[in-house]
Amino acid sequence: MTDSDAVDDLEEQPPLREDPALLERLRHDGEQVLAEAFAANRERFWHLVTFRMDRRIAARVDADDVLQEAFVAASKRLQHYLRDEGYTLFIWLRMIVAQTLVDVHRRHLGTEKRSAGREVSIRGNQYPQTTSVSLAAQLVANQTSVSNSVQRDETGQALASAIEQMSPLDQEAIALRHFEGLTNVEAAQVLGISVTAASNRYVRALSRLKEILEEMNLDG
Amino acid sequence: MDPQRKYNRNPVESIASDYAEAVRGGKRLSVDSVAEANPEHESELRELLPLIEKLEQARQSHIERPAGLATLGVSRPDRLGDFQLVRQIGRGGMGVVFEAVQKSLGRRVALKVLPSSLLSGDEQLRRFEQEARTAAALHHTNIVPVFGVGQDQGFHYFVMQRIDGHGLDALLQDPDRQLTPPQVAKLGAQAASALAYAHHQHVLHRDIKPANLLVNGDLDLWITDFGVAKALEAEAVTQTGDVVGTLRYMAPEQVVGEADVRSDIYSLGITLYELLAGRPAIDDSSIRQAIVTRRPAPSPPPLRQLNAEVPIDLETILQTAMSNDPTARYQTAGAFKRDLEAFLDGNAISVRRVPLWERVHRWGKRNPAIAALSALSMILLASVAILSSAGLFQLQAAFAREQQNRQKAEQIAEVAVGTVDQIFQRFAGGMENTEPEKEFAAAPAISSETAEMLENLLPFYDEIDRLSFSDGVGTPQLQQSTAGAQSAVAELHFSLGHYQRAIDTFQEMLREQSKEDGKSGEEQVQLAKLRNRLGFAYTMLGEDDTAAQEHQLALEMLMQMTSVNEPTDVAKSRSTRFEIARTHYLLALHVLPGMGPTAMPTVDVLRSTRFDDRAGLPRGFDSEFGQPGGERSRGGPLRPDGNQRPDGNLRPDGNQRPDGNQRPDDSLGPGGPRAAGPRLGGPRLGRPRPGGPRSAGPRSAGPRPGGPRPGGPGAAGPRPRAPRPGGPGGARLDFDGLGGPPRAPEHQNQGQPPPPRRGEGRDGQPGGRRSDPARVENLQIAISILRELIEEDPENLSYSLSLARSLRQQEHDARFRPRPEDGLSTRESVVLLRDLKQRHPRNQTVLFELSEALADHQLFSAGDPTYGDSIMQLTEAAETFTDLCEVHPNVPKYINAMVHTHFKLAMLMERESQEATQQEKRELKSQAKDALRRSVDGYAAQVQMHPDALGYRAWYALFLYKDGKNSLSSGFYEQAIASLQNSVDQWNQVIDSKPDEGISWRALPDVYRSLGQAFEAIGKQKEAADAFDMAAVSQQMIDLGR
Repeated sequence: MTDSDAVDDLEEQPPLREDPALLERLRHDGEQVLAEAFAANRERFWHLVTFRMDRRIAARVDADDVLQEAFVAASKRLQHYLRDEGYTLFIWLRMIVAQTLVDVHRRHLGTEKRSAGREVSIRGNQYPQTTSVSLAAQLVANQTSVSNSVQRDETGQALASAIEQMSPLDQEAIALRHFEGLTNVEAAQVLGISVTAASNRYVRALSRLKEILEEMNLDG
Repeated sequence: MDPQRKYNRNPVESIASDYAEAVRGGKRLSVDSVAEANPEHESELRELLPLIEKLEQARQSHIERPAGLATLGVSRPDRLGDFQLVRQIGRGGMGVVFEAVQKSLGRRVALKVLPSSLLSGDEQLRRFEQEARTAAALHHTNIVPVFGVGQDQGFHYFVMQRIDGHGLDALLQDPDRQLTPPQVAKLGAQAASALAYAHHQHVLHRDIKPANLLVNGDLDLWITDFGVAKALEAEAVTQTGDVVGTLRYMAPEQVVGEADVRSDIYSLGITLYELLAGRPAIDDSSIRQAIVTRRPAPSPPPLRQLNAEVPIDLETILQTAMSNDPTARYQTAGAFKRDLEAFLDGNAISVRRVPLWERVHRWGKRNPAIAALSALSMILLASVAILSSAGLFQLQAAFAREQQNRQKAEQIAEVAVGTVDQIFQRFAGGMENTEPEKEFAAAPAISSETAEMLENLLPFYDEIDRLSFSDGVGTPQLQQSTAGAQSAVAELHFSLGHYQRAIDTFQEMLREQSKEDGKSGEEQVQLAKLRNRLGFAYTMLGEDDTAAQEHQLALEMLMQMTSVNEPTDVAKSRSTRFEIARTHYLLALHVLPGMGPTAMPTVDVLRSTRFDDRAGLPRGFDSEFGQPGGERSRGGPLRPDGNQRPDGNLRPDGNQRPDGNQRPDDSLGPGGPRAAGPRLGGPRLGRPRPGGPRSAGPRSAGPRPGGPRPGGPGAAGPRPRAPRPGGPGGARLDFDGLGGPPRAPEHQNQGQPPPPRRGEGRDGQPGGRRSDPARVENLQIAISILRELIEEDPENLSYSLSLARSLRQQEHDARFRPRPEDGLSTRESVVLLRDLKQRHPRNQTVLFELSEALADHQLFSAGDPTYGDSIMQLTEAAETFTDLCEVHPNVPKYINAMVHTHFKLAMLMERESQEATQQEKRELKSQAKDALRRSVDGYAAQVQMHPDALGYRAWYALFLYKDGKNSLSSGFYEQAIASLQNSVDQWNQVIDSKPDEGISWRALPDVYRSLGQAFEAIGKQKEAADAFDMAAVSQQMIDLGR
């Protein structure tokens, strides 16, 4: 595995701005266009929320409620986006959903989680400090992780523990593609890397997962 | 975005994407065909595609039951059949209720939609539909009409009339809305009337409770969810795990599944009681008690005691309705209703007050109750079963036995104790706490969940206790069990590294057990043991002073006893002497860095990770790496070879440390034997921070802002679009202009050393605990007592293990080093433990201690005749630790040992590779890399599990740094950057929590420098420059500190 990522950065950037035509429509008919965009990506956002939501919160908060709140937040902040669009609309909406999720966590767990000296045994993966999950640093305690999501499935047991053994970066690569259901280009946008790098990273993560699974087979 | 644009993608990725897409869409492509169609990637695809399928399956199974909760899945449907969903109006355990519009009729209805997971089986589905259809046939003013059931898009739902009202549960939660007795009677009469009608139609409700009684503003009442309970109740309990909640309104006989009309009457009575009393008729502890004792919960207190406004007649009516004995209740809902109406009209009611003596008599009739309670216990089991099926079977057996015997009431409590004890034994490995002599394979893995569950079971002992006093059941046994259970919970927390919680429990036990006087000798030993456990837990937290106090108290207690003890009482005095020996050992014990949550790496370890920069070995490497990463207060002025340590005794600036932090050498008395002297520094200094804007103002205590850290160390990473308001330039400005930051001048004016120095001062202090004569003496005493004990009782494993531990500590402290011609195995601790392993080949504790001893020795330099043995011993230890970690993935003790041993191995191999041939070099390097990788991975998990344990985090940061450097030197630049950035982040987190911990400050410049090199290597000049700037800035911090 060489490190081609860095070189590719320059040539294969994913789109960093939204299509001007869509922006124009957003300016004129914001609510409607926003609603369409949100609806079109609803399923993936739902996955983001359910996969990354703390179990304790999941018992109280429906993913739908989070999405509802996120949409309201997006409508409110639409003007900000239009003034300073450094992202595609999808990436921006995803950020809002993630931020809303952080807020929900904070609301439900905030004080409890941060009280000093309290030893919270956490289950969940630490995500790297990428843009995609800088929120994870805040959520990390008790977050439903990729591995947790698969754990309940008995056949998924091995898979879960294999995923757990991967580096956070690799985990994230798998999470974005398989659990959030993003495309390669979207994953690249989220991770802030080139499309080529994202595809390499994904394949690499898969290979590593495969290796770990094989090792586990040998061991057990 | 432009979907048409073609990117230069990894071809395998693009094939894999299509494949995943297909799997997600339900298409089944054969791996063969895809692989054959792409011959150039065939083998890779054959490997990866099945994996993709697995991942997609996992995704699917998650969608169906996220977090084990009822959900309607990804997309809440907008419409189901003829119904347009308007909004969600309620969410219960079993389903979600929507307001909906039936399009064909244009009417508003309520739709209760059940998640598909609730009705997974055919049988279940059939039952549900049958029940729902029966319910739909009910037509009564006080029953929510069910229009029908339906199924669409995989959802089952039933359609009900939309009622403009609320569940009585909502009303109960509103303290301002207390209903009057006549109002409650009116509601009760309506409900009873509905029940009478339904019962006449041969339909039972089975789940009468406040939430299922809807009321509008005029106090009209509707019962909802007829029959649903029967179809779903088992599922609901197992899914929600709410045993107590489920049982609160349930008649005793119903729990066994023997519901009849009188069960509904009972539930209604209980509900009405709650409305008047303002609290549940049966509280949670009574329900738990009922589960444990397998007797019905005692009757609630007379209503009028709680609400004086309730007339006697109404109290009598409800008392009748909710009698534990079905034959004593109203036999029909109609009779219940008539009495409520008679009460409202001021007429005479049909039932009389039950005299007190008769209540007592009825209470005694518990034939039906015993049967009922076995079912209660089954429900308890349902929740326990989640944790272990093995435990479940044991319990079932216990209950089955009990059911056959139908023993007398007095014995029931005993059985209950035994049952709960069994759970504890199963999960906590018995009550034996100090020397868990468990077989490797047989020991159940322990986890936080287990601890949690056991903790929840503790109140059961209280319930039993309360009962046994009234029943006169022998209490000593119970007390012993309770203490045993408590200590099992504490030990579990201890093993899991939840030291504070262990301390809390130990202290509570101490309080309870210290209450009574006149303890027997054995009880006193137990008490001393408890104190020692408490002290040990404090030691793990790094609170040495408190720990020493506890041990000292224990010692005093034990010493008093030995003088009192009959000299003939050999057995007793032996256990006393053993505990004395242990106390001395514990007084000498110190936590090695990395072995406890607060034990930080030392400067020397840090320095030794750098050695591959230079050709030779770092100075002091030998001694630093003698232990898993040195020692909290290292020092050891003498080395066996007689060389003075180059940098151990002198501070970098050449000044001898003031004695402030030095541990007094001898005094080990209570009240601060290990007390630190006045700490340097006084109030915590405002900390200039490398990182631009953050250092400029007072730090906010709040959570770190969500976005990228502007200008912070993280910003040096590859984040092309991240805004960078601050940046290293800004940071430097802050430091250059020391007058700028508000609190910076304090440094200069008061001449106080900044944080790095203070931390280092403690670490680098000469003459630490090791040379403390009191410690040496304590160990000697412990060892000589233990030797005597072993002579008297050679078979006692605990004695031998304790001796081995003490010896190891002694060897460690004396920096024992065998003569080359004797080989490494001459260490007595190792010899002893090898012998123990022969005798107890699968004993977990023996294996662990042996590995500890093997891992805990000096590392020798290549060329030393014992050098190869070193590697072999470490490898052996590492393997055992890895095995232990696999069996017990949540036990920090094992993880720490495993991780640090691998780290040591990595360092050793790397060092060896310096002198190896080219061929060997590569092999050794790769082995070292693997070992290091294991350390990093092991600690990633550890840090997640214990986010507040700064010691673990600092070590993790250190491992990451080393790993980053490794990757750097072997050309994996991206990996290097990831590790190094992570390392920076971890160090910063340590600094955030504990700014005066010098080690983090010491580490940062090196990490940044390496990061800069990595960026440079891939041509990212700007990032590289930033990182070097940060290195300079953080170096400056240290220099300033000096």
